[in-house]
Amino acid sequence: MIITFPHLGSMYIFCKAIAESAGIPYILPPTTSDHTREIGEFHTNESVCLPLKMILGNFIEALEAGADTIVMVGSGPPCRLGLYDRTIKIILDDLGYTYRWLTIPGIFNLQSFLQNHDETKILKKELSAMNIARFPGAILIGWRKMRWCEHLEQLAAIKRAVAQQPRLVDQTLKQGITAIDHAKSLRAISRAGKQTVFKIEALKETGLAPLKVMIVGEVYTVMEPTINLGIEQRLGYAGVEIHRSSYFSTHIRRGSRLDRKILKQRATLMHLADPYFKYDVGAECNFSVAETIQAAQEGYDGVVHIYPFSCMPETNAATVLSTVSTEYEIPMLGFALDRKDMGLRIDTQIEAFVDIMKMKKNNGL
Amino acid sequence: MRIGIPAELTAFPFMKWLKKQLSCHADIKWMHQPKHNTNSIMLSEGDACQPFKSMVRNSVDLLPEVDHLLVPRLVKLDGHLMCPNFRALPDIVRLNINKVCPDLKHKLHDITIEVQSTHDKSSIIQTLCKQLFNKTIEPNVIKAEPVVESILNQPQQPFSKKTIALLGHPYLLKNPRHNMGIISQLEKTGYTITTPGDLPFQDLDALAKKGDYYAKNNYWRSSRETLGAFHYYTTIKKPAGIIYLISFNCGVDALMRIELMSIQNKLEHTIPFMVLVGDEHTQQEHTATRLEAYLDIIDGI
Repeated sequence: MIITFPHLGSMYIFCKAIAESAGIPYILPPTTSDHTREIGEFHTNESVCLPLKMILGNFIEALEAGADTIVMVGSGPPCRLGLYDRTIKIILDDLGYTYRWLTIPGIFNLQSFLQNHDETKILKKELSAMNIARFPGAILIGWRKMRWCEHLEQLAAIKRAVAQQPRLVDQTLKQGITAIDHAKSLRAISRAGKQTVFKIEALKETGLAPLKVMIVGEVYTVMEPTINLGIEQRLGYAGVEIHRSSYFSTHIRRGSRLDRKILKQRATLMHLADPYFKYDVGAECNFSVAETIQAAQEGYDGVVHIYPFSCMPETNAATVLSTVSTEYEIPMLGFALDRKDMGLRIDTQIEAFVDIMKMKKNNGL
Repeated sequence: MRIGIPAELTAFPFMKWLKKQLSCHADIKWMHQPKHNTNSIMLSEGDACQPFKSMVRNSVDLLPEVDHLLVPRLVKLDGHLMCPNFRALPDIVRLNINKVCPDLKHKLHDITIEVQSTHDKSSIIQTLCKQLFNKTIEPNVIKAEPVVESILNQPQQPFSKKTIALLGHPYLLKNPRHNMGIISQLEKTGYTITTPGDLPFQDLDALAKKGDYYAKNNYWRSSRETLGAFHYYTTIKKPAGIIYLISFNCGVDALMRIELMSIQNKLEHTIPFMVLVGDEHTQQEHTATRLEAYLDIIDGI
């Protein structure tokens, strides 16, 4: 058994750490690239959303590299994410790949449990008693690594805006994530994380007040820098401090429904979006609107809304955000992402967006 | 009393039943297309599909011409989910009305529709009668629908040689603007049309179950209708050809298209199958050319 998993922000660190710690062989798909997207595009069609194309590309690249077991995060209706595994399996079967599939339930219900039970029936036979015994510890290591990586990403998203040399922030972040990735114990993980925090904080600052922006939207496009073309970095280099609620650990905590604090926050956000959406449209739609309102109330300078072209829930959020932006007088920049050859266009849009935020902040536009 | 419902919604069997039921309790003139398209400045429509944009625009334009505008929130029909756009439709209409003609917003009525059983249907009629006519209706007044017999166990009469099956959302098949005039073009060339709407939904749903497993039920109603119909037309009663009409950027059909192509490729005896994607462009030459080539293949066979 050689497992593989898609790229989704720092999720690969979590999955990789679990596999390594439990002694399960794995293959990490190559970093998502234009080629990955082209594979996904070739085997789907123009109205399929970008995350599916990218994940499919990741899997095909990993299967070609020798993986035989796919581990994929599941979800439920009404968004298309809930049917990704059904669709991807159809495509991979038609292409003649032989593989096993394991869905990590996105929602814990009876159907997910039955599916998981069925999928793990054969896989369990290939695991040794040692693999299984090491599993709880492996999850703890994976979780700790992912939380540290996310903490560093949060720190970097704030520091880039004020650093004299923002690229140094990225270099330090990359070194820190690699160190955490290589760490073998909880103590080593904490040490690598703390050292990176110290290094990032020690970088020289410009002394200028940064602009503060909230990023909202569809989880995959918000979290995966190869998909959103490093929008956080691009904004950071333009002097913008970035905040977002979407992290892989947040979604695990939401899906498991065990973290009461997160559930309470979600309920509050749903309530905040009530004047615009009287019903849960699905996926992050209502939360994109609610977090925009929250950002306006908390004095943010602007909001960036990112989603894949043709995403059904977020298309509705985009329409509503055009009115929220006016009513709450908060600058808004929307990106419907599909192809990847739009980096320069994003830079131009960011320049104009930053100008608007600065004018509003300084002159009361 | 003039009641407006955007035309696309009336393509669903449930909405036809709803109109019939409401008509029993008041004298209603139903309106579905505005007499005038005002082209009012509305909110950004983003990359929504054409039928959705059309529903929003028609709803706003219908408002001055009607006493009540009914834009139900279709969450679930026949026990299966509708696409997320239908969940947001009344909200998007309301926000546009607030921008374009806020003084008429009192005319908008929305009701959340999640139909799983007959009881759900009764409560919807009761609520709407109260909302629209200020009238209390007893549940026993609401006429039960006749039970639709399954046709799967009945002997099937073959289609005529010149029959084409059209797949797609009911509102695409109904509206020539959305279906690029395919139906009239086919009829001009002597073909008759059959659609999933000619078949009982429970039969299509049963046929669609072939691909379900655990949490991976295809949860959208329209997907199940299309998938079931595709199985029916390819294995039970075969037409000369199957055309799948899709609205550009339809997320539901984007996935279903992959599944149907996969099934088609595995069939022992295939039927000519074509996917046509349409959007807001009124130019129809490209569809006419593809249709001609497609019919040449069928006629050649």
